[in-house]
Amino acid sequence: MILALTSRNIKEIFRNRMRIGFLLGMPIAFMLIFNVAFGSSGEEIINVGIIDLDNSEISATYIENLGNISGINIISYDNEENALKDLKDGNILAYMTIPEHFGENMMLIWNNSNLEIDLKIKYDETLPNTASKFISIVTSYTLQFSRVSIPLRIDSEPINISYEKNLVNFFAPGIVIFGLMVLIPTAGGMITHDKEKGFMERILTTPVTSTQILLGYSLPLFIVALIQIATYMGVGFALGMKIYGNIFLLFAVYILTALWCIGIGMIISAWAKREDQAEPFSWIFMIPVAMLSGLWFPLENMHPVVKAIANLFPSTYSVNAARALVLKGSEFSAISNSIYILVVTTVILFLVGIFLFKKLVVK
Amino acid sequence: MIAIETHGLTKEFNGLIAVDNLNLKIKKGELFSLLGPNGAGKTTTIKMLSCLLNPTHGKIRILEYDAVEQPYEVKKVIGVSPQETVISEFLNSWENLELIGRLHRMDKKTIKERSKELLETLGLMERAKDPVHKLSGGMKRRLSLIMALIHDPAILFLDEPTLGLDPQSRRAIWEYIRKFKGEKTILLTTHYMEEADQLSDRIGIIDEGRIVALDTPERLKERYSKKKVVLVEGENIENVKGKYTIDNNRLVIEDGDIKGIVERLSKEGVIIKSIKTEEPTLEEVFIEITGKELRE
Repeated sequence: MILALTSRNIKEIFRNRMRIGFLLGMPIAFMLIFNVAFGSSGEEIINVGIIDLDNSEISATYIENLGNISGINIISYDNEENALKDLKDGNILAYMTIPEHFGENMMLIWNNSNLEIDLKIKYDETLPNTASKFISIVTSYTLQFSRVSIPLRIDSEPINISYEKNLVNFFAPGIVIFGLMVLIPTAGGMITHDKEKGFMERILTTPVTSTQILLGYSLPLFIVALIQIATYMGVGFALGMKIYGNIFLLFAVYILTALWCIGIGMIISAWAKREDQAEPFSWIFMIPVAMLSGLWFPLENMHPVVKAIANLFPSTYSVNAARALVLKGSEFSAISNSIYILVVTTVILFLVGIFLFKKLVVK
Repeated sequence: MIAIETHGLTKEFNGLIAVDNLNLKIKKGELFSLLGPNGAGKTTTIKMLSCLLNPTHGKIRILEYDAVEQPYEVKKVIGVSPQETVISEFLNSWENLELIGRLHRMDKKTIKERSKELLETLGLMERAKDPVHKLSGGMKRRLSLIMALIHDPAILFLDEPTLGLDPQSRRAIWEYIRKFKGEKTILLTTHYMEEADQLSDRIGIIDEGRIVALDTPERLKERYSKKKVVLVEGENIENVKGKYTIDNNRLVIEDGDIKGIVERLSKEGVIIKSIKTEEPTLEEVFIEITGKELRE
């Protein structure tokens, strides 16, 4: 008896390719992503800023040679204010200030004086790994540059001007976006269910257009998304979340996120014939994409190829924009690119959805 | 006046011909049944007529509209009750009817009046506020049927409207369909002979995508089935002389004249225990035309 049932259920599991793909494919995808995410940094390039207060020939040479070290890309700033702004906007990960008299002191050191070189590095506190890598590069390079072992003082300071060491703040944007991404299997499952059960066909016997059907399914999901956003933000505030940026802009980012998620769900449902195809497929798509978006761990440590792949998916832009708003209090100009990309993606997804639904209406 | 007309209607699925060069002319107010075994092409035909499937070849005319060119016009005048009971399970009966009514652009007041009338007629009023998933199979079928009627369409497509129902529910639906006879044009598919026989003005027997016989139920029976048969059970039947056959201990006589038979058999010493006549049935016609082997 047990064997007969076992045999039946083994057949059921193994003959459903989607289910087996889900069981085997998902952990493999997880492993691969964790491996590249936490493994070697590859040929990662760090963007750093330099403020040269000395403006001597020696400091210029020092900066030029530092820039030749592989893995570092140097951006020069006239004053600290601009550097700080770029650090906050995420354009650079750290910046170093070369003090006045750097050149003179270096000359004295080369003439056997016992002077101390004082460098100031400020870095993004959310990326301590990158900062320590940069600090060690600067240390060894400076010692090499001075050609003698000198007392070198690197004054490193994590920047927390606009963000607190608050776990809720760091994770909240990612969690909201992940919550919204659950709309993908929800949308996919809902429409595929109606297709599978024949309800869609019943609707199609009435004079409705494909666009009306698409919107008729999107709008309720959008209302769900609004409730989700409000709930998540409410819980976040209750746990002590603080938003440094414009809350309306954050809301806009979340709404765009909900829309592209619904769009992807629609497209999956237009393709899938059965609910047990649509649901696992949605998850298989969603989990790796969510992981690559920097939702659970920072993107900066990933291999450049993985970063490039991550940049193909809208989730990456959603997370970047939302995190910049919550943590860094960025202005619109700092996240405008992400927002434009999200708008364009959403429009494209819905146009593709309407096209696919047209094919669905008349076979 | 013709309500539904097809010309050379053909549907192929990956080289498999589901409907093959179908020519139909259904008059306004007629109840036409498509009778055929499973997989004969009945549902495919209904799907093409209700603009859910595009034909591979051929023309469809529904009233004055071309179904391929003007699907939205066609969808306004038809009501479709699909083969599976397709209802929104978490809505109640009122809400299901309201949905279809609004998709047909009816105003809420008309929907409400019409729903009330339909729910009452088909005995669904008592449970109309319960979510549909709590209703019995028969009730769901009836609701599915009236969802096709909410907008009072001129043409009704009923795909196996009584499939899987108990005899009571089946008869209730038949009775209801009879009310529309002459008023609406109805195309009904079924593989229940009795259903086609009871309801139809004309029957098209469809097999392997082709119409193999088309006529009124009476004339089909007349043309394709054997004559009236009298079956006699009794003693000494094996001694009877003449053109009779014995099947299952019964004397089978192809003659309708019971009185004559009784007199003759008594003379030949047969003691009659039972005697009954068998009318020709549509089932015989069906088997005669479509053969006995299993389909699909």
